[in-house]
Amino acid sequence: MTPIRRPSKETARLGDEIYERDIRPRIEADHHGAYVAIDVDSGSWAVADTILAATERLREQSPDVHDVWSLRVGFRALHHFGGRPLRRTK
Amino acid sequence: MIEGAVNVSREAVVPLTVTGPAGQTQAIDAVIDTGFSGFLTLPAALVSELHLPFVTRGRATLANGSEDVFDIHNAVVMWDGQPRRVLTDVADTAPLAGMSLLDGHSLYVEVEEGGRVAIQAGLQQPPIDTKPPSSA
Repeated sequence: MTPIRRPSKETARLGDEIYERDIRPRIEADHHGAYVAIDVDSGSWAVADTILAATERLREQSPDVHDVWSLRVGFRALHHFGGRPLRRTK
Repeated sequence: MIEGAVNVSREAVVPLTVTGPAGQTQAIDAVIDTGFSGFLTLPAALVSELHLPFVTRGRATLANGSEDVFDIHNAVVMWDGQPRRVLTDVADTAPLAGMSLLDGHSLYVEVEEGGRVAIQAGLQQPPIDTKPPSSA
């Protein structure tokens, strides 16, 4: 039986926290536009050129992962519905 | 080629078949959304019914500039007669087919009720074989 995932906003909060603390400083300079998949329970993560590749790489490392947060390096969101985000003003 | 029709709301709709990991299939009508950068959306009830495996959660930007968190599952869509793995966002709306699904294809839409919708593999010029020109 698959364990029940936590509420989605909580996954997002934990995932963002792990990314900002452990991942961003190590990859942001060299992986703009790449996708990162994070196991929010263990903090393990993987990076790849597509969402699918990143999540598959993560599951190869941690086969039991069940709550995964993904994001795109340098972007606010994985994708958009109906309106491309405006560029953030510095 | 995948063919559909424009509905009364002027949405370009194509019929697709979605398959789950145990082989269950469901026919859906998906609205082509050129403003959606992902592959496909499906309602939660259908994702659950087909037992589509969970892939990840992620953030998406909505049309009003707000953001929300979506669950993304893995589906197989019959695409031009071939099974194709497709990332599927769970959204309780009519299914949407996004531009990642159409990547590398040509899209032709006659925007009137009942108008023709055609998706063709490749980037032809002209993109799609349209009605023959009427002779003068």
